[in-house]
Amino acid sequence: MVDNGPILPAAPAKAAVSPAALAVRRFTRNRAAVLGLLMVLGLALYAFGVPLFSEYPATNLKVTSKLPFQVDGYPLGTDIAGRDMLVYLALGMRTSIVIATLVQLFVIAVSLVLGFIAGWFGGAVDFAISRLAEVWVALPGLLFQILFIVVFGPTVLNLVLSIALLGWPETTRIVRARVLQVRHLDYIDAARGLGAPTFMIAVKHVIPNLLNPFVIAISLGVPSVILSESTLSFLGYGLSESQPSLGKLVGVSWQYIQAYWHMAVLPAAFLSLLMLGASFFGDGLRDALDPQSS
Amino acid sequence: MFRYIFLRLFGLVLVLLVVSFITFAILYNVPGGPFDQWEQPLSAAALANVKAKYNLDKPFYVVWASYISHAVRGDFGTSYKAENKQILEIFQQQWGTSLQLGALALLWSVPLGVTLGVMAALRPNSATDYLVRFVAILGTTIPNFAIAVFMTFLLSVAWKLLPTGGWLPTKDPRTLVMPVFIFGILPFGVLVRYARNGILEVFTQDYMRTARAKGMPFVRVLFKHGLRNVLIPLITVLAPIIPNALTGSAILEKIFRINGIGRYFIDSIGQRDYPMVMALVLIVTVLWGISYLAGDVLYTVADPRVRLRR
Repeated sequence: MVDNGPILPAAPAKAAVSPAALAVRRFTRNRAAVLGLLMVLGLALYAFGVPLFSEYPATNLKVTSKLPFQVDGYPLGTDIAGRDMLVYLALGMRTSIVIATLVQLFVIAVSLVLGFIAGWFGGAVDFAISRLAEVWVALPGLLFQILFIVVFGPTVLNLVLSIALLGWPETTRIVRARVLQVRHLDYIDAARGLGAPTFMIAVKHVIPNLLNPFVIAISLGVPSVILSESTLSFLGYGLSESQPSLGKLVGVSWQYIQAYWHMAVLPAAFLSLLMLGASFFGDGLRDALDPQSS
Repeated sequence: MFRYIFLRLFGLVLVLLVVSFITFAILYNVPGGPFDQWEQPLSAAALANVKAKYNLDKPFYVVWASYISHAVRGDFGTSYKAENKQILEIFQQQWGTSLQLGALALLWSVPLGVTLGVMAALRPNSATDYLVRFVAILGTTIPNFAIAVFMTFLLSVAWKLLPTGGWLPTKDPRTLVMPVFIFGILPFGVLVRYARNGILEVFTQDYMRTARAKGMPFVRVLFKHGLRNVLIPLITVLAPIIPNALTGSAILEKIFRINGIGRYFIDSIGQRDYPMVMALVLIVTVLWGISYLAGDVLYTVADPRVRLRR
């Protein structure tokens, strides 16, 4: 047989732009968003990079309580125990970043599972999960966070759980609402008709549909998670003594502000930069993924 | 209308019962208790006596029922930690300061936030707009205690203009400046954003153009047609801001060594002072409920098309 060539004319040569490429383009054109991303990346590089090249936790008791640039080799000074502030702040920042990441991973897992179950199966399960989420929001949050830490002890896992416990209702509601919208789309009904297992349908068809609002909610939640962690640490209900975090550094250094201002001002400044960067990035991501919102 | 308000207040009572029940259930069922002592434990008999005195030996729902029956008669019990002190007495001593702090913070931040938000919206992308939005973003993003550190460093340590702490309204009013300013900065930022967005949106409406076209003076258009329509979102954001401000700030009270209820709340959770925690949870819930109800009633004043019915 001779190949007669295509019956239909070839598709137009102009390449179609994918939604993802459009989102990337919108993001990179947003100066505040790019600045936020660079701030977060830079601070993360500092937090995870600097401790690799230092002899921490060795404290140098010959060089205690020095202000920035007072002694060579300690550009950010040392604290009253002789810890190099450059390294100690990096460790504190690392704690804040790690905890915020763990909290959001936890929230992602819980709200995907609960939201999908509530939206997909409906009925009594939906009623139970939705009412639980509503009542949960009305409870005094700080009380339960502090109680949780007091009762179960100041470990990383407990701190993560106590913050994540307050974060899941909102994202769960978003997932549930989106599942309700797409549940009866033709191709999802078709997949079900063909006998695809529910888990497969969830992963292959439902979750891709709710990715945009979900990613937006998760990234917009990051600053408030960082704030939660640093507030608890500041009030003295954060991690135990050996693990520094930016909030705790401010809390314990407050009393020395007259003489050693850098011990409180520097962690406060780094925390502010991290919050600003995370919030610019989150806003930029929302504008890129959901251009109608602004 | 009155029926509606009555029903809502009735609903608030139900919410109080549920919230207090859940709080009791959690407080009394978590491991450990207010009279645990690691260093010099009490003998078993003495501990049992202390527990019996405070009803801690009974199941939590019995304690809850007795607490509620006392609370409706105005008796919130005595604190576990401040020996023999009535909860109400402690409240009278501590809450006044927090009320002053919150009220003063709202007094500057609400009017200034709305005014500057409207001014920013009237000249979008001008220098004023950028400056106001910049301050609002900083105020809503940077944690209160970080702002407090920066301000204390500059104003108290470096320039020695203000004291580092205390709360002496009559003797040394300079002590009020930093806490009142910092406590108001978050509401300020939120109000700027909502007032600005509201005005920008309302100015795209046809009736605004019509009002201008028929020769109405600009100021009148702004107040009668513009601001009136921005009131609804403003009431919505103010509803949670007001009870929040009036129940004190644990962080600022700790930083500036102010004897307020917010700091007391945090301490009493750490010390497992259950009667204190319960009273505070109830007060906060009542304030929130009333504030949201007041917001809903004000909707009908701001926009006569809104009807309250259930």
